[in-house]
Amino acid sequence: MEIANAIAQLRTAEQLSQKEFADRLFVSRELVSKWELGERRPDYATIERIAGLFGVPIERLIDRNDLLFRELEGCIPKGATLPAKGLPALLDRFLETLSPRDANLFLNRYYYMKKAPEIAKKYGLKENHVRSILSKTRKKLKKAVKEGKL
Amino acid sequence: MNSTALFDALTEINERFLDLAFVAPASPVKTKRPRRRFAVLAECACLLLVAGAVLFLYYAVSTYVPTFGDAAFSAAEVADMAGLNRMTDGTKAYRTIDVSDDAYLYIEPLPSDEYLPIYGLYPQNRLMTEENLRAFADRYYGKICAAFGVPEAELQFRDEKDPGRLLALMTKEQPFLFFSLNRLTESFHFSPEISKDAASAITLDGQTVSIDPAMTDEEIAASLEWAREKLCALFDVDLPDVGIERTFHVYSGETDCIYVTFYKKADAPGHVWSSIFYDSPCDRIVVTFYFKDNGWRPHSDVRFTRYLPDAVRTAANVKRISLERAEELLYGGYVFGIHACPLCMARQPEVDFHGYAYATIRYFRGVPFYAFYKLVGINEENGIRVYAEALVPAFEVYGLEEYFESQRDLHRE
Repeated sequence: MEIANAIAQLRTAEQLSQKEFADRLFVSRELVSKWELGERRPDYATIERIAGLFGVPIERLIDRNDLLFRELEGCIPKGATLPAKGLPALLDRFLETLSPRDANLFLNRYYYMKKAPEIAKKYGLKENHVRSILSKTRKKLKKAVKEGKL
Repeated sequence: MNSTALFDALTEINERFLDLAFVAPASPVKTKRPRRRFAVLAECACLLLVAGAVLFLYYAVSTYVPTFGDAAFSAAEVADMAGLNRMTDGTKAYRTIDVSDDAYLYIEPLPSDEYLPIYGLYPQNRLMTEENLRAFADRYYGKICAAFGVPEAELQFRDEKDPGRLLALMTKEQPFLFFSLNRLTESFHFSPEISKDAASAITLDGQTVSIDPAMTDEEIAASLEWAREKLCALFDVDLPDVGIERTFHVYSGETDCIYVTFYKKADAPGHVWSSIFYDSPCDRIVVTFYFKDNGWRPHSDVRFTRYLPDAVRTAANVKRISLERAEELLYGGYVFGIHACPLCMARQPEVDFHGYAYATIRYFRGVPFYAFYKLVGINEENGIRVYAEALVPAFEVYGLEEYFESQRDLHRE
């Protein structure tokens, strides 16, 4: 994850230990370690806080105009709004409906922010196949939102 | 925006999905392999053996009850408990500390106590609820906004799904104002918006809280007495003592940051902690002044930390080894390091600690160590004195040889 490297670079450039950095963000050191290893990623508000803490533009960490956000936007039918509460639980249920492989590909793209060629390499699939699976999954997600399941 | 909501919601899904997606599949490309069935069986057997060993170690360690006074702890356990670096390599295992004056090493006389406590932190699960966090915040929020001149806004709940299990309340309007609760503490943190264009300072009831880095510790404590009184009243606490810690910029040698901690010495017993601000498990209010221009202007922040009842307890009382015994270990290379980067640490030039300047007792995560300081350089341009600090457990431990051998092996790999 590029964001993982960016966080690690900014932190080390400021000569902060993971603990000091974690304290400043009010998160645990373990979580910072996971961010930097790419095992987990922060949410958008936290990314904003990190950028603010280091006094760098947020684009240094994440690009809001990235294709990824446009793809996610495309999962939501026009005029529909997502529920303010309980969305993670609904996403859990949605992921349950997918095959384990499709769920993994979806999360590699939209959680771990990997690009299709990277995912294809990881799972030994053709790039087009990955794109096709992701496209189908997004359609399923859009349908779930439309039907009020999400 | 909907896409951001979806992006954020994904950070809070069940972690089992993330774990499965993070790991690479065992064999991404399907190829026919001979004896595949036997390979799978062998893999399963290996996994079972490893899982068995891990479970055995987990239960062996988690049910371990220290005995008192003798060598109850191994060197590896002590390094683990204190969170010290695992890859030590003889006397290269030290960290350097830059000070403008030896007073900032905060050396205290060695205690005369025959036994020293090891403090343990005991997570309190029962208090980790939004209700408890809101009760904590509600008690102070109005007063805090009035005191710091911040408009009140809706406090929103935020559950961080991480192993530390931290709950936080924050507002959209003030991204650097938080109330939080983890299993050990309840905390409040406030920093005025950090600007790239102008210095930002905390104001308390309209009065700016500021200090000059050229001041002595005594002058700083005296000049902030009014702020200590106001902050103690704000949080309904009695924290009469002041601890001051400084960091210096590694290149310019200028004061980088000053932590002013209001605490009660009786709660942080008479031993010197590696940092009152960072390491000492006692209730405290810390006002931090950042002076270095790190791309933003000098600024300050304030945080209040209160330990939950029973979160800090004495885990064991251990018999203190003599200074002579500690020196034997020091000169033998059985020292522990706290350098941030193990590889950098191994690259450091070796330091002969014979003729060291100071020895004191320091606590790291509740574990007492003899800390030795040797002057290794003086920056001619700014007079900053560079000390090497090496640590030896302040009580007898077993398994030193094995531990340091294992570290050397790790380092070689």
